[in-house]
Amino acid sequence: MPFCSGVCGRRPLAPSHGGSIRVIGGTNALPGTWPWMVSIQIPTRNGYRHVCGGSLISPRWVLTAAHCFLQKKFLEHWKLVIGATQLSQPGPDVLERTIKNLVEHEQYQQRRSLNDVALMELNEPVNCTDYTQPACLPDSDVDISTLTHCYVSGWGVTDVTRPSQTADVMQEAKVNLIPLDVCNSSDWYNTQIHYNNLCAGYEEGGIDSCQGDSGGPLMCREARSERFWVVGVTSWGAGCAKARRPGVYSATHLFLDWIKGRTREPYLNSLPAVNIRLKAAATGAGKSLRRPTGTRGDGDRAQVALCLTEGLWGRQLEGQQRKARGKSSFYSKVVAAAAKKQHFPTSVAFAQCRPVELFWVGRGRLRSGLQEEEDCSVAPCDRFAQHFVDKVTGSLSDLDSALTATGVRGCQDAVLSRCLGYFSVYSV
Amino acid sequence: MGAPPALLWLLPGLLLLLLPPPGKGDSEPQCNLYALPGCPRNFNPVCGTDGKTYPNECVLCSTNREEKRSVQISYKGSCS
Repeated sequence: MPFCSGVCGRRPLAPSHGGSIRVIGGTNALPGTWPWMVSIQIPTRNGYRHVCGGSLISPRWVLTAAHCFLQKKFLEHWKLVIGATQLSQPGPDVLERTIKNLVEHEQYQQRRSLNDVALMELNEPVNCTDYTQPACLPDSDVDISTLTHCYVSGWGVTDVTRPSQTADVMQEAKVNLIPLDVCNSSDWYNTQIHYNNLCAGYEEGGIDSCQGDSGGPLMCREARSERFWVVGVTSWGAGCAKARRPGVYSATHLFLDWIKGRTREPYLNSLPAVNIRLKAAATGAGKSLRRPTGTRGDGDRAQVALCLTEGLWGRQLEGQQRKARGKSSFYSKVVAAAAKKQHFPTSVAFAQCRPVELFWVGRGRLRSGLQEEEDCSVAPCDRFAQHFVDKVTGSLSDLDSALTATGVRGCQDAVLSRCLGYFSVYSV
Repeated sequence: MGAPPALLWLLPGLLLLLLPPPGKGDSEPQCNLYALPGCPRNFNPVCGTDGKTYPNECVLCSTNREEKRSVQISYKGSCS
């Protein structure tokens, strides 16, 4: 059984927390909100002290910043606290680990904080629980600049006038990604930001990561997805939360090869490996993939809907072939076809899927423009799912009109995520 | 001055007990290690000779630069 069923970036407890969403200018995070967060702590004569954050990316590896190890005395006694929210009252779900192996980036340069990433191997792997989940790493399919829902979290300093005080309860804050050309403009960091960094925060300041947040995640999700990618590793900044001096983060996607090489673990995209394969199968096979009754469109834009259970996500298809046997013939067909990288049988129709199993693969992303408004009941969700099964033939415009026709368009983002979380959209 | 041998044995232990503030004596912050117009966001506080806690050495350096002064490090850790 793969770690967390092979699914990353998931927050089992977050939906029940409602819409709440120093970190400076942040709010207390609720338990389980960011289940990949790690607190790196060092022994002092007054007990353990939090130094940096980190992100769990697999059962045995934590991603963090290289500069957290500039003073690495007694490294064997450092403590990694995983699954915690309040450090003074960890609770029964919190795990403690030590560092079996530290890998600092070979090209890390302290003076300019270049390549400020490091990996820690845990002395013992962790289990997947509601409080302990791996974050996703962004691969080349993720267009970082389009991510709109980004957050930072950590136990860092929350008040620059009290710089000796780190947070006891994890803080979280929403931040915006700031394009590098803006961040490097003369009023901002004036060309000091290297291209393998990301800037995130606000032009006016006020909300930012701060000392003690290093190594922790800058994490984003797409508008329609519930899964989070760690797109950045908290690195540095001029002061904290100052105007036009946003936080600077190491851009994870540019270190992906390094991470994979050093950890030698298979990583999951927020959409699991199976979809990558499906993508491969779908590319160039648009015509045969299109549902026979589908709307006309150019081959490139052909959309494919597939039924896949969440349990199937992320597992290796070949391995699934055997398991799929004896289940519905649908699964067998899809799995067998995908494993052989063949075209999907056109006989696989939407109607064979249960709504929540529908899975949407296609070129381009769902059109945005869905407003976050007051609460909607789940009813439009059901209507939407039904409509989707009945009417949608595979084009984006159909999906778009389905959203309008069923009233889902007006729903709050949380509801929408619930509706659409199953319908992850992926570019082919 | 001849100290009794027993006392000499005890001396390292006594020193350890006296350690907070560890690293006795003011030390100069290594500001040449920080070339950016900002500071890393690790929390390794130092107590400045001005009696203030800085969340890390770099922040002390950049405060020195901004305020054109030369506060040194009294000891590592928050000011007690």
